[in-house]
Amino acid sequence: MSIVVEGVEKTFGTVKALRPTNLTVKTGEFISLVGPSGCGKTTLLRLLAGLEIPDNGDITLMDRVMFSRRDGKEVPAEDRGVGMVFQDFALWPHMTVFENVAFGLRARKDTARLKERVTWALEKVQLAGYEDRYPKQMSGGQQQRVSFARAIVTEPKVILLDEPLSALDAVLRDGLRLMLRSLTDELGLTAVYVTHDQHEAMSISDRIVVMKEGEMLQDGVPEEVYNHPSHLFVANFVGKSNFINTGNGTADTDGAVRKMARPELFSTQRRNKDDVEFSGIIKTISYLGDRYEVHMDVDGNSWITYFTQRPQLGDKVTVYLSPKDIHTIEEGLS
Amino acid sequence: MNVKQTLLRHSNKAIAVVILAILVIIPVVMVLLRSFMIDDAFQLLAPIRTIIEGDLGEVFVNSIRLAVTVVLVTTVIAAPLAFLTGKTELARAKWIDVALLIPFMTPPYIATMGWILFMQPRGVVDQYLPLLGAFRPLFFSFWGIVMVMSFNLFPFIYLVIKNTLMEITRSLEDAGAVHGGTFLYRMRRIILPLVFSGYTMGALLIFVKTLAEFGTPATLGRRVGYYVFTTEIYRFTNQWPIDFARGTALASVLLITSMLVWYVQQLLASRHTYSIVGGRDHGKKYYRLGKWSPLAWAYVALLLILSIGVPYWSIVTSSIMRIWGHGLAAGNFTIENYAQLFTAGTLGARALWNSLRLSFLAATIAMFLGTFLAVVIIRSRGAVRQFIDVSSLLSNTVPRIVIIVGLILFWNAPWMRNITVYNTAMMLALTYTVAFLPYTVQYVKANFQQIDVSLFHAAQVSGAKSGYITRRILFPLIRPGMVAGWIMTFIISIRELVGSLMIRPPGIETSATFIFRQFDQGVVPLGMAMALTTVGLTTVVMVIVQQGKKTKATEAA
Ligand SMILES: Nc1ncnc2c1ncn2[C@@H]1O[C@H](COP(=O)(O)OP(=O)(O)O)[C@@H](O)[C@H]1O
Ligand SMILES: [Mg+2]
Repeated sequence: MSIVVEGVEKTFGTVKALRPTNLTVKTGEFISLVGPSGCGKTTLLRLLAGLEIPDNGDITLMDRVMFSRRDGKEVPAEDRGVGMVFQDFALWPHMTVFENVAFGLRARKDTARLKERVTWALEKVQLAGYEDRYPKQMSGGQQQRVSFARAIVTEPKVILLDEPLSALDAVLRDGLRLMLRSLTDELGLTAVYVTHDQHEAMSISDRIVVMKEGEMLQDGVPEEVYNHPSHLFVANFVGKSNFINTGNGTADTDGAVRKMARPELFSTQRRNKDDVEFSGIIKTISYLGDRYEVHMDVDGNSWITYFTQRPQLGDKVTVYLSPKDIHTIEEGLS
Repeated sequence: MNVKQTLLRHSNKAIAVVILAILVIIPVVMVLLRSFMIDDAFQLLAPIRTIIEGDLGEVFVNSIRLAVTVVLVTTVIAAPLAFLTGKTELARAKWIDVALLIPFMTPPYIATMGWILFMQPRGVVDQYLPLLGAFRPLFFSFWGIVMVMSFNLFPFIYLVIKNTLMEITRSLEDAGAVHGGTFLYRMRRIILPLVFSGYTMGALLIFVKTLAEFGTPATLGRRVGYYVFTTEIYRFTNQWPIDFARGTALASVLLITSMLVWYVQQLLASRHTYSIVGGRDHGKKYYRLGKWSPLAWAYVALLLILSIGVPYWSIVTSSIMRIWGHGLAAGNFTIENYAQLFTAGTLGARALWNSLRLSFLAATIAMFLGTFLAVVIIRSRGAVRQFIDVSSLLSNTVPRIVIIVGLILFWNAPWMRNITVYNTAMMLALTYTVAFLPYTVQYVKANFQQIDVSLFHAAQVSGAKSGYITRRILFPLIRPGMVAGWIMTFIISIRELVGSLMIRPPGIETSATFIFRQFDQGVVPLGMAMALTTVGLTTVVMVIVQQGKKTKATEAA
């Protein structure tokens, strides 16, 4: 195991930034922490890096105990040997690209073949030849690549990424995301990736952990989390959900069993004879190029479905769903 | 744009240029001309020659030596404090910054008088702390001047360093820690280099301020025989035998030296300032002091005692004594000194009243003139804008005493005889206006720059004409800058010493000259009562305005 977190918690003043948390990450695994702003993702990452000290619990990285309240052990950030990429890049404005990348090697007095290794890291992020520039002479995307080179130059086993793409625009983001993933694979890094963007998390990760208010709600492979959300919150946060009324009242009654299905599972035609049918009134229609996204009102719930042909606003339409596609959220029942 | 509007626009610029030429440019040029022209011929090295021939080389060396030493000492004092309040748990003690406004707001001549009263025979030291008497010879020397000026000026450099420190976002430090930098390594490779550019600016500012400072050299320097530019310029232009050739030669050299320093500062500023782009900041990084905490607090206490405690202790006690030097014994206590200042007809009351009315006048003129200039600057382009911008801030760049010598040369010139401004009290108001005009210009400009142009465009689109926009949009939005400019001008005019001393017509005293002369003539208690009154008065004005701003802010929120 590359990362083992046991019972780690952190409070700032009165804010419970992270409730007691367990997490293990296998060597070479790429996991994402995803959740809305303020849910404690960064806090967990900073605890791993040693930039914050947990109130409680144990942290082990690469089989080395980094923090243990019980044993009174606390390895400072500079001795943990992880790489980290920051949301605001955190490049030192007074150093050239070369010096920024070389920092970790110089700081650890590990200067053998310094030039060669810095060049290697810059080549990995396709920035060879930019050594003498200053950060302000580079674009946002380039700066973030320098920051990635800085994190890998010391060849760490673990890399922590805190919303590395959120300061960039959409086009850059897609390209850089692919690059990040293929590099971490190539270098065999164990990666913890923080993002508030569920699409990003699902597309880049082996596993995602959905967090809310300092708590981990669900931990699984992206498909599992998408198809079988454990909580109402997860269902809403990851992807779009259509809630189905059960016998006892409407879907959003607290503590009730909730049934739901993802919009793309619905069909405008009956495909099997055991298909369940739902009808509702069309409220809005948005054309997406390859299909129409339709908001409809079904038994007082607001649903999203997809149509291949433009329906009529205000029409009453019927959609069909296979019973096996209905997912039951058992939150609050256990 | 129609012809009339175009004309109007250009006429504003022309008016601005003419006003600035008369008020600032011509006087400064006259100082230069006077010192570079010998026998009606321009000589490049004339001022230097005058200085060497006139045995004034020592003055030059003295001034530079003082400025360099003050820069070093303020740095040594301020840097640790900036680190403590910017990067450790002492950041929570917000009151430290507030307390440091006190030395900042205390006119140097008053602080120096406080120190002299503390150290001189029969002063506070002799009465209460006899052991410190051993430091008397050291105080009444070059080092005393250095110390007093440093404790007066260090808040500048402290604020500069601290602000730069605070701008360093946490992730810049965190990235250093995660990538293997220990505390000391991070300090050396990240924090210090990033602070350095800001520090250099602060240091050069202190250098120029020290060179241009009159108050401390005039009170303590002259007493111990340490003469610098300002005291000598004052002597040659105001005291018998008057020698304008030497006075202006010194003024020119002072002017050129300061300009060179500003130039270096501009060069550095353009090359070495980093905009430290910040993303979401996860709070500030504060280091825990642990067992060092008592030491840190002791340091803060020592600084506050030396920069506030000592001078105010002697000023306050002196001001309530019947006879200075007899200590605060029962029979020697009186409020008579204050009573005198508020009794109509006394010299003190007249001086105070003069200061109030002249400062009021100056502040009002400066507010309107400064606002006009700021608006013209913002609305114009190119070389004209550059000219108006630079010359309206000139009296902040040029040492004040140089401007004042220029004003004397200009307004007292033979061809000005028909305009009777010189030798009247109005000349003082004019001097204050010219000297402190940059404040309003800067405040209004800063104010203006925060206003998005779209606000004006929106008004235009809504059908407003330019006069209406000025009245309903522009004016209300820049009012805070105008008010701030007025207050600043008012406050520092009341305390202005060198300008008042040099421009004052015979028989007219201001509060500053009154304090200065009372102190010179040994009438300490009355002078100190006046000192405390002006400091108190100006502080009250500031506090009222601050409160006003706060209530407004809370109302708006
Ligand atoms: N240094 C800090 N001091 C005080 N509160 C903090 C600090 N860091 C984070 N918090 C609080 O902890 C909570 C979790 O923050 P964070 O981990 O940054 O969330 P996320 O990264 O998921 O947006 C928030 O409520 C935040 O305000
Ligand atoms: Mg975050």
